[in-house]
Amino acid sequence: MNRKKFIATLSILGIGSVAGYYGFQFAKTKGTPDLNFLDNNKDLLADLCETIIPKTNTPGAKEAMAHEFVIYSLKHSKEEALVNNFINGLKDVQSYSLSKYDKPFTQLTKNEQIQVVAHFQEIGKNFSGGLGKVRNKILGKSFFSILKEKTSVGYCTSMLGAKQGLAYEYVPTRFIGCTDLLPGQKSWATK
Amino acid sequence: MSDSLNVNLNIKAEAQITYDAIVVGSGITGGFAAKELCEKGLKTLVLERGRNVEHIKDYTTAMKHPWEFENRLEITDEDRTTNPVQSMSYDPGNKHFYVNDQDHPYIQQKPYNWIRGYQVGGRSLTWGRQVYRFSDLDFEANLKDGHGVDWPIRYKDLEPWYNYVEQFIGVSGCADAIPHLPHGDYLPAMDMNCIEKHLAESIKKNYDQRWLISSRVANLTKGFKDRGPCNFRNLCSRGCPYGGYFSSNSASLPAANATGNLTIRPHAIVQEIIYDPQTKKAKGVRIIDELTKETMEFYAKIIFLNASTIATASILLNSKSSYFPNGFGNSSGQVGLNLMDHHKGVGATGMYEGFKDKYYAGRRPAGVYIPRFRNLNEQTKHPDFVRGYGYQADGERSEWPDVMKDDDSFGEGYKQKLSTPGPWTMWMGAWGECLPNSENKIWLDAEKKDKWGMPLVNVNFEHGANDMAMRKDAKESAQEMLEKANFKNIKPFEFLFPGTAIHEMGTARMGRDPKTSVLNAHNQMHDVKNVFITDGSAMASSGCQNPSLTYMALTARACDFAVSELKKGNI
Repeated sequence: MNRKKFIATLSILGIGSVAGYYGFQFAKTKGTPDLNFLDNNKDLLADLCETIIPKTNTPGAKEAMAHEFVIYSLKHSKEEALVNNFINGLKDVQSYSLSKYDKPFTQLTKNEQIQVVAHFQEIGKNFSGGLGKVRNKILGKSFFSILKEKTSVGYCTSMLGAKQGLAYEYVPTRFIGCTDLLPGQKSWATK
Repeated sequence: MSDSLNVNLNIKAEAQITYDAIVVGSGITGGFAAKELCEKGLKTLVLERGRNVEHIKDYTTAMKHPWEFENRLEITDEDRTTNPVQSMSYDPGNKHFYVNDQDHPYIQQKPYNWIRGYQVGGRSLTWGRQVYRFSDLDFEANLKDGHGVDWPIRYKDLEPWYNYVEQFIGVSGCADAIPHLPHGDYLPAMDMNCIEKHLAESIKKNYDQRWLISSRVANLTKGFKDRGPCNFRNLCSRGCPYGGYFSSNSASLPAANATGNLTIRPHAIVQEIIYDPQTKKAKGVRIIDELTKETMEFYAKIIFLNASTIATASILLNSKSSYFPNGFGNSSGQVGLNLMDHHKGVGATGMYEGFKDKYYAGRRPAGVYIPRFRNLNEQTKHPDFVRGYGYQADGERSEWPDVMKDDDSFGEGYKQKLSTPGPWTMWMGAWGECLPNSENKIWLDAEKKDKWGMPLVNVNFEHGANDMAMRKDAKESAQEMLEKANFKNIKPFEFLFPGTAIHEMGTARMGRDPKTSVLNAHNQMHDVKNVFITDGSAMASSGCQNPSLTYMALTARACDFAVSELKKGNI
């Protein structure tokens, strides 16, 4: 990074540890993404997706294989910063889990996993609003935003997600403009 | 061969090179011309530059579920990079009905998205299916405000042909009596949902001469001529296995084929029209085979050019001879000029707090329509612009694609929100008239060529001050209508990507004077009497209505005239 841009980045992001973190993150957005890391850490990714959309009385993201879509989507992305942010995020999740709980993410309790994801959500939204946009422009979308967005698409367009998590009609055969919404009725999977 | 079709195909080593009629292009107007000419007994050759697409059999994605697409229904960065223009319009479900930008380059003097589908059926497979008639408000506009040249026809000339076309294609819609949006005899309209009805009532209460109606759309709410009905999947652009909407493939080409008079020649890129100075008529066309790059000639008594606006003008400009040094039938110098395209992508969205106990069922492949309400008469005159715009609109409840953007939670609560219908929202976007302007034009590049040796097309297009003033009003009026109907969180939007309406028109316009127009009142070339042009290039003004219905009405009318003239021995 050139010095001018680095200083500009710092002045936008503020000072102290946060700035240090982002300065470091910026450097990490560069370079060819380590795509093998995605395939080699499927269990970690599947558990992260599951934390975003957990199993309840309907299947969760893991069972719906949302993580496979996340991997496919990232492997076919040409946004280097986005892919690097995501892979770096996965690595950070691993080290954060180890340092905080002394266990890898996949061995944490559901509640601990939620705490870890909440931590990364916080990091991701430190700069919301206008500054958030600047941050996104410089650093790319945060790990949490990418995880949430891709998990949601992967889940809602999966067979289990669409058919059980949502309401999917393959061939509706009719259109009714105004129906009574029944208690517990799910929203449509497709528009 | 793999793409053979169940009609008479003319692939190679043609024994037959002479026909009664040649139709260049198999899209929405070429297909219709083929049907009309075949039904009138003419042996007709349809030349299509792309591959064959057989109805149903070649709709390879039509029955796929979202999870059967690797990247689901999202385009990839690869699409954005290699197909920057076409990918603005396609998704993985219909991508195969769009050209590849790498194979089909053109030169944008200013940003202009030329979105194309080179295959049998052309863009009739992927069209928006909205069908609104023009009225004399449109046909008299050029004469009254002085932009462009006067249309050589009026509504009464086209009215029977609108009826005729609608009765073949099948139109669902409301027959509300709106003076400047004449209607036909329609199949039942698709339902409005409760938020759309709410907005319709509010507009009726708050405004004079303003309506919100169910869209008029070439989807079949009932079975019609052995086609349909629509199954409300909203996947039309993949091709419909039920024949639920009108396309060349589902309707007009099969009708043409049923006569026994149709021959389709795919992979036939028309290089030029051949002029016969003895007869002062077109003799035929020369094509390049898309696959072998061999050239060959076909001959006919009459030629219909229906290649689509920019391509038709390009063929004319490429057909130079000592008789037509500036391009075929271009003594006026107007070929390629006056390119028009509706401006769109401006309006507003709003959220409504009521009707929480209501929803809808099925996926309607259409929305609602607010016909033009500016400059209808003295009372509705706007100080800043001439002509007007209509809104296409759509009400729905927030569903997962909206929730995932707006919500910042995760876990069980988030999942619950994803799976529960959210607030009602309304989206309103204007489609506005574009004035004819000779600076908006296409021409052939003197040096650059495509891989078939055809000169690249230059497109120079920009929306003018009138269009921009109209957009400002469209943005404000949308917000005002939503406010009056008690919507909350009203957000205006505006983005302008010229060309993305995919309503290009005007490059071989009709007119009364051969010095200022290319075609006469029957879409016949002023200069060459056995050549007819009935695609979008014939349009003398753009209106603000979706134009394909008017193209088809002009086509049917011109075919009737052409065959009559042929029989009289006049051409």
